[in-house]
Amino acid sequence: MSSTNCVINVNNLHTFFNTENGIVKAVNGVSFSIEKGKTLGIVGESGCGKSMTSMSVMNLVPRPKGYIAEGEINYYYQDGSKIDLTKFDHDSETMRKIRGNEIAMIFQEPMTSLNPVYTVGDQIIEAIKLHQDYSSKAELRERAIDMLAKVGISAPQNRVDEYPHEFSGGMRQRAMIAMALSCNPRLLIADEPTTALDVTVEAQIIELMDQLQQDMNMSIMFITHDLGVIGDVADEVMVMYTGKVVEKSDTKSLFKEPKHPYTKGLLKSRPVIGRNQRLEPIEGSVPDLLHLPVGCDFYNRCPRAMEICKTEEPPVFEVADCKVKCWLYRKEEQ
Amino acid sequence: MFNYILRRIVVMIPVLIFISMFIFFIIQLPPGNYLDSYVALVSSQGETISGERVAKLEKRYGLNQPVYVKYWKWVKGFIFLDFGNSFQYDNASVWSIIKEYIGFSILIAGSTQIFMIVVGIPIGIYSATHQYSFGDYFWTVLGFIGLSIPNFMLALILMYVGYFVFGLPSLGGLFSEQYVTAPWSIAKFIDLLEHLWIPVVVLGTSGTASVIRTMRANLLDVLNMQYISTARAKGLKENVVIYKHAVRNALHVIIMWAGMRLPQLISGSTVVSIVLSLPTLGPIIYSALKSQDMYLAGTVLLFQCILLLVGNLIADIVLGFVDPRIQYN
Repeated sequence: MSSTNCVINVNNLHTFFNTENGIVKAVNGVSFSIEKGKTLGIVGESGCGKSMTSMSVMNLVPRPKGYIAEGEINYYYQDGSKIDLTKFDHDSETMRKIRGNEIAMIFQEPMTSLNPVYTVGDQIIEAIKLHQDYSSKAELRERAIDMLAKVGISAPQNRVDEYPHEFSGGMRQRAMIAMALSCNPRLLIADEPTTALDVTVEAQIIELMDQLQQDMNMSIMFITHDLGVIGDVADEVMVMYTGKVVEKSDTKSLFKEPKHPYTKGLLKSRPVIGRNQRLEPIEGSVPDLLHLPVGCDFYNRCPRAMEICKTEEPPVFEVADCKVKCWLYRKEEQ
Repeated sequence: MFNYILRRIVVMIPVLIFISMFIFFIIQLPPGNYLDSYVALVSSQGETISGERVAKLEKRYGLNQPVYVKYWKWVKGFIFLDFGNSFQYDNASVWSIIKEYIGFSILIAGSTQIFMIVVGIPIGIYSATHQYSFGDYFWTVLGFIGLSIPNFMLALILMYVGYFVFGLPSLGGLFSEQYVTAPWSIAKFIDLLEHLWIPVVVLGTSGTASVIRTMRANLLDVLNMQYISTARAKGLKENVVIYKHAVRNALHVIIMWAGMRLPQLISGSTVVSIVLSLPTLGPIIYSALKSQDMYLAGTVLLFQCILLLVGNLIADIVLGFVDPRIQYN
């Protein structure tokens, strides 16, 4: 991948938490890049480190317990110059100018992601004022109304003065998107943006994001546990398990030909219309992040576990443009 | 908004009527009346009092009348600020006694309230934003000490330390000797401030400690909310995130608490006022209850209830300004 076309490149990221019982390795050696205008989907169960990956990119890992222990997060500006975000303090000016301006984020819970005591308009204006040169109050307001209109909120000139509790869940998520996109970010991190919404609203929000992505030629990092949604939005998918990437490939081949037994398990455990089979859940549960096994983390749940999986952690193998962290794809096994 | 306040005040009237009956009923509950305790006091001093004089006094104070007559005698003058007469203060009107003490009561109570909030909230914010740091533990320990020391104890310690360690003149009262009866002047005001800080610190310590704990707990809750992450993700400075987005959402409980605390500051200061010889209503209500001076005791209790209602109303109004989800309809 040529660096000029790259928006963000995360290399060997380790994000740890100090707890009373020891160090929890929430993100454990994650690497990925996102190109301009593309969408990377990150899938995994709760606690697999997908949200912490996004929080690391924003440099918003909960302090003082959480910290980035190792790795690089290279952000490429419009002009091609790059900076390593891990080198900056979370409250430094450089970081604050990137947050909201270059990289914006929307969250899982639209019901609680807007501050209840300020109007929706004030909260959008706050972001615009931070990053853009609008001199007058009227201009700022105008821009906020434009953004609300853009995300499909009707009568935005009235809605702009309303408080979050006067908005429905779907409308709040639209307002969040309006706020996130108000400064034309080049990368949008969407952390389970539709999980809390009902299915019809979910479809609308995804369509909206898709359309806005095309309008603004923006990259998206889309985090979800819903494989159905990923299939619709992502160009490339990264499957995470216990803070590590177990499989990474383009969306089409992931669905057509999943490689890692965990990915296969995920695909089998979701309902598909027209397929009249019992769902097959993945047996067992995620190992404790404090006491990870010596070998493969998925060993105890894996239907195709081998002797070597118990004792040695698999490296990443490249199989036809896909990356798989599984001993099954060792040359000898092929 | 204006309508809302008016409505709340109108609703207070029946509430106060009910409360006045209740208070009067409770004051009548202990056996005997003022004269019984008066006679007991006089005879304990070795003097005797003739039955004739007792009957005379009984008639003068109207103590032999039925309860409803006594109650009516008390309430009928309320709108003219006539709350009957006090027995132990030689038939002086209750209002004249209250008028003399309520100013200083409000001054001390108000200063204490301000002290608790001005000191407690910033420390609470510091503790929450520096959770588990040395500073947080320091204030936590100090807060618990403040919560557990009885007021009068703290008053005695302060007076002792002030007198024997720093050689300050008497720290009791609100004025130095030469100003007690002097007319108001700048010098007298400064003298007042020099004395005022002791009751304020003494009365405010435990309250400040609760403000610190409450603020810390609430702010920690708020800091975990999603909208705080949203604010940070916008690129706001950490200080703006905390003071603009978090603190305002953490104030609810403190505001309600401050409103409910108003009446407590009058009766709560009783022991401290006796120890520090402060001219507040605390000792007045104490002696009135002890000697069954019913009109005086009832009126002070009624004032406390009024303060509670007013405190709640103020808290509700302030809450409405802080949180737009609260509406006045």
